Amino acid sequence: MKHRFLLKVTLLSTILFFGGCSGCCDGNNEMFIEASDVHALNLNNAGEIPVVSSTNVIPAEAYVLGAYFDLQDYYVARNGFEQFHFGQRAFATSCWEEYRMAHDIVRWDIRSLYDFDADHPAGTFLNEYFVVYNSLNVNSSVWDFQSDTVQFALFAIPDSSQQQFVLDIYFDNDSLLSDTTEVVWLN
Amino acid sequence: MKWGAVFLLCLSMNRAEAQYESGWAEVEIDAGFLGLSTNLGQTAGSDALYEPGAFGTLVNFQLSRMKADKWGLWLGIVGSSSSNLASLEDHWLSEIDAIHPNAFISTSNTNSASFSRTHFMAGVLKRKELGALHLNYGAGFGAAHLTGIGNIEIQSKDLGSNARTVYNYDYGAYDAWSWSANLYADLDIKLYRSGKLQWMAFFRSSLMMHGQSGEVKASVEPVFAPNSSELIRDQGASMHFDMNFGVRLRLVRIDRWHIFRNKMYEDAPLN
Repeated sequence: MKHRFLLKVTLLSTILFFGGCSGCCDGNNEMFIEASDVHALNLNNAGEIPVVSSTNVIPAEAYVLGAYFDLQDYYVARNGFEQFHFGQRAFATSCWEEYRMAHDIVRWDIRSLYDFDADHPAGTFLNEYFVVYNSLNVNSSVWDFQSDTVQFALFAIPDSSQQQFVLDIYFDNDSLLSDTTEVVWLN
Repeated sequence: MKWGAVFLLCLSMNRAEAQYESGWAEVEIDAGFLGLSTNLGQTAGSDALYEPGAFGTLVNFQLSRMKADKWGLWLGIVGSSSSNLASLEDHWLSEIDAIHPNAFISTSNTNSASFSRTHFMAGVLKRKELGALHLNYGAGFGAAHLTGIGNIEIQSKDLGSNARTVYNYDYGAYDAWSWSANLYADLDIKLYRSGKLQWMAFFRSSLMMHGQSGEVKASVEPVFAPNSSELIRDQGASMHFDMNFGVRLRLVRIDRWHIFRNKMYEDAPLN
């Protein structure tokens, strides 16, 4: 009799645990990420979307400077442990993880190691010649957090075709990530 | 156009008044529903600003007065609405393709575009008895009120360069009046009769044609160039084939109703 009662309690608990909680979700898991490094690449935007150029010769009017970030879990990086999520992550099927940047980009600077034109000798900022080009939305001015990429399209023709750009990305925690592209010839 | 329609309505009412002297016959009040409107297309020259969907909903209301074996008169309202997306996108993509000298790639952030038309019409009709059925057919003329809601955004990128442009066609401003004409026929059958009130069910099909004279606001947002906008006008005409079911209330031999006979025809002999 006692065994039958315990069996019923066990069965009921199992049904409630799996049947009652499977498929439901207490809330979305917010995953905070941050960029640990950036890689600046020369992209060719002559086609539909910017792609990594197979050569170092790119049409100037189709040049895009791509910045690819190495992303890491903010809590893992800072605390050495993963964020604890209460609930049934092992069973819940409708929970999804929402990624947020731990720190926003507050400023970006682009300069060239070579003279760009008469008004922009080597080392001066070229921000006025570049536009954030992440999506086809021309009004896009912020980084798409779902992406690990920021793209800057060039809207100027340099006097000297040989260029090498330096990209500085500043975050709201005063951190700075920087990288330099390979030498590129803009025709 | 709007005042022209009002003039035509007044003219038809004046003619109705003239016929009134010869006595009433029957009056019908139609309420049509379960309607399907099909878009047969636009005439050449149309700029396709007003381009309703292939199919839409339809309702109609009509007040008719008719005499046996003679032409009667009717006043009616026909309303139809539909949404359209694909053909409008194709149209504007082809327009932009013509604007750009080089090939381009585009994506569209189109929302929705819906159109509605309301026809205010007057005309003539005749009725034939086909056994238990009645065949009514007629023609009318009047005004059409065309409206559009929604916007279409097409983004383009030139091949070979970073140049991008956003074309935005705002249909929220489309609000136009134009002419309207139709030919229709319906079959009705008696459902119920109570004294001089006769309830009928009818199926109606109509060939509708109307002009287009609206405009939309088109804005262009290139990168590193001033934004611009312009008003684009369309022209031409649309043709539709409409079908719907409805309920008809027929006031039988209203000329013999006491309320009219006592006041208007005190001395008129009854047939």
